[in-house]
Amino acid sequence: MAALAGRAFVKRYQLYIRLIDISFWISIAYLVRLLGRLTGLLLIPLPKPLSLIFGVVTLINLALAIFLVVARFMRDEFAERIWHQAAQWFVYCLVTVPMIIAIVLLVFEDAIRVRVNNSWVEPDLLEEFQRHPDAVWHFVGGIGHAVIFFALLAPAFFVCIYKVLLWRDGR
Amino acid sequence: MAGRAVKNQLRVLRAERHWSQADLAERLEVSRQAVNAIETGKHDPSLPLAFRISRLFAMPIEEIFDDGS
Repeated sequence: MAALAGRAFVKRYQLYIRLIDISFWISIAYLVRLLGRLTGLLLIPLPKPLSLIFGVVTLINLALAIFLVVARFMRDEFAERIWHQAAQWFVYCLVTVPMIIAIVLLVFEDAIRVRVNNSWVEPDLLEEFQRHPDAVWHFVGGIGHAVIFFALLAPAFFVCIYKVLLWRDGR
Repeated sequence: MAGRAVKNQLRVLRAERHWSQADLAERLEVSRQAVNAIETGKHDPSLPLAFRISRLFAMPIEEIFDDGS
């Protein structure tokens, strides 16, 4: 009976790591595609059925990533330690990445363009900058948009950080 | 003392019994990655886990883990 219980625990922990792997690769695929579309490097669009499947998979992955963040019961002590390390790095990124994005957009606002529907446009973040005449509001508004953008990617970002730390310590 | 890596005999003890990491993980009720991390010194087990390891191999904790002091 005890052996069966032990096996069940281990299966759960191993399942958690498998799900991290799956979510990691889907997140990477999504981030690569997003960057490719924004920079215009990936100009070949996916056929409609594939694009739809990719979109659905991405949405499911968002739910999966959120589940993996909160599913304490599926982590053993080692996985929990990695979670705490990932959370620490995530907080570092949360307070620095939006600021970096906002500063880069502010400094290079004349040069930055992203690819949307076969044409180059200014990123939406810049529109927030330009909406207010006051320089301080420019900056604050831009940070707000950058934070929202980052928040949407947050679960996937956390999984990626987790996977890197797991790879570093679990090999 | 703080921050010094703790060495252990886990790999040797496991090999003596011809157990894989997965076998040991199942007996200790942790993931295989946890066993690997402990064997390579990247993770120090909690006290409850250290006691389970001690009971599994019927050896005192001090004979399995060495903090170098």
